[in-house]
Amino acid sequence: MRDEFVITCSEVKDKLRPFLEDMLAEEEYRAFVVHIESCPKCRDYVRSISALSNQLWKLGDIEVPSDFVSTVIFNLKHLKPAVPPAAKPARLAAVITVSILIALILFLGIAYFKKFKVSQKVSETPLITKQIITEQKPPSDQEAAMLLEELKEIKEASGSSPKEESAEKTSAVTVPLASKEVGIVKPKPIHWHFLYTEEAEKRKLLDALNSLSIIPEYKTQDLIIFNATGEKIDKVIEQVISSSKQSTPLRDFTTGTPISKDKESRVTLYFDNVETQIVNVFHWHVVLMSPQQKAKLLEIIQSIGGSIDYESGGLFVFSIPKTEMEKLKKRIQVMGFIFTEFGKLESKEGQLSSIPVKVSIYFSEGRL
Amino acid sequence: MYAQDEETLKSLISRYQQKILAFALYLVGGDRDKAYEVAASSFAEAIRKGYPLEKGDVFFTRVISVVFGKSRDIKTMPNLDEIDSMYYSAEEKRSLRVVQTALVKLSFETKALLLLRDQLHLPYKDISAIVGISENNARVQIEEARFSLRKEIEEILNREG
Repeated sequence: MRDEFVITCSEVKDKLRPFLEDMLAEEEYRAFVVHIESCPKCRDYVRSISALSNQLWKLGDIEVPSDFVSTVIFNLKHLKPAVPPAAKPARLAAVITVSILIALILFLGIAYFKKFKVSQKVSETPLITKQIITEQKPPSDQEAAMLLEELKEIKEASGSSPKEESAEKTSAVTVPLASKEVGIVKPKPIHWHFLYTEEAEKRKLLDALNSLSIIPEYKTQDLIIFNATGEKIDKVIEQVISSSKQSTPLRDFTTGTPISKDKESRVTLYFDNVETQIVNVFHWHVVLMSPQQKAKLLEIIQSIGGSIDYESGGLFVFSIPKTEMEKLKKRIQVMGFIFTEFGKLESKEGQLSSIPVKVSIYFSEGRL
Repeated sequence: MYAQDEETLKSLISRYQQKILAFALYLVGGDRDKAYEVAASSFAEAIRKGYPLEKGDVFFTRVISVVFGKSRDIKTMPNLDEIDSMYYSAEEKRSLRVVQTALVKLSFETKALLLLRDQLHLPYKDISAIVGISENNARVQIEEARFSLRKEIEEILNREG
């Protein structure tokens, strides 16, 4: 830049009005901007003047989420670039090509899923697929990202748009869990959801666990996680159901599937708030998370005000203000994660408060 | 792949993230999540396209250009939060809120032109390249955009008494 186009502090006052009215020659305007960007004193002075252009400038003072830089870096490393839209004359050909590709991906995807025993319905496939899964070589980050894309495409091709899914989720607490799954976690967890359970019934369940020497690995007012063999789980179910006053007090989302008698499974119990009937616990399945993806997810949670309460292989539990749940979900979708939610966000007036809600996440650590 | 440039990238993103996010925010009608998505993917796209990282200003203009392209077809309902900056007095915030509300009512192109010049202070040459019009047209249309914004502000103030 030539010397005559350098603006000094002493010149700012003279050039201020023409700058605000956009009457400076282009070189002078540029030099003025360069100066005020590097001189805080002059910048504050210019911005203190009441002018419309300054108001627009001030509107740019927004807060930047703390995870923005790492999100961009993450996207670069882990997400495939978006395919640019086809030009108009080639649109028909592109539509045909895409249709063929979707059919091919769907076909290959189904074949792939069958091979790896992923995505299964309760009534058709066994519950525990650990042995088959552990024989598979963990995919690299790149493979993981590609597979993630394929899963998304297959999911989209199968017609379950995010909107439709969202509508389904509101009633997810009353339908079998596994029929909604996109992928499978390892080991297959078992979920029970107690709907508006009375404290006395909750007590009976805890007594049943105690009598069978089952010690929860994580326990809060709303959430209990424990590991037990299929045999012990059967005994718990038997004891609780037989002593319950309600007709269906216990919902075992995996009913109908064989539980291995001698192998341990992880059981997650959710208790809805008895008095307010507000769901304070959510459960998510996040499909195919590499260690890097997991680290990124944890970072997102923390950047939105969530805190990690508990973490153990394949599972973590975090708390987050209820008001931030939708934001968190959108942010996770931006990252390209596929996740399925069980639980519903109450939206009755006055109920959507900043009370922390607990979310438990099961994930597969870099493998299906 | 980008390891050697990662530190440069982080520094560049940090330098321009607020401007890019703000530009995206008003172009998409105030939806913060959508703006975040557009801004993050625009940075990534600009980097993938190999835009010169070492020339910060040029890189910034290219990212802005990508944001402009990506935001064009996004339809969101105006959803403006309170002015979140802690640096302004209550009176200033009210005033900014009026401008913000008026801005969101303008057409996509009008908003973009105003933001490119009066918020980002880009040269007309760059603005014309981003929007795809001549420099002279950019000057005329930005003047018209300012007039439209003033008109919207007046209407809001009249309504509020």
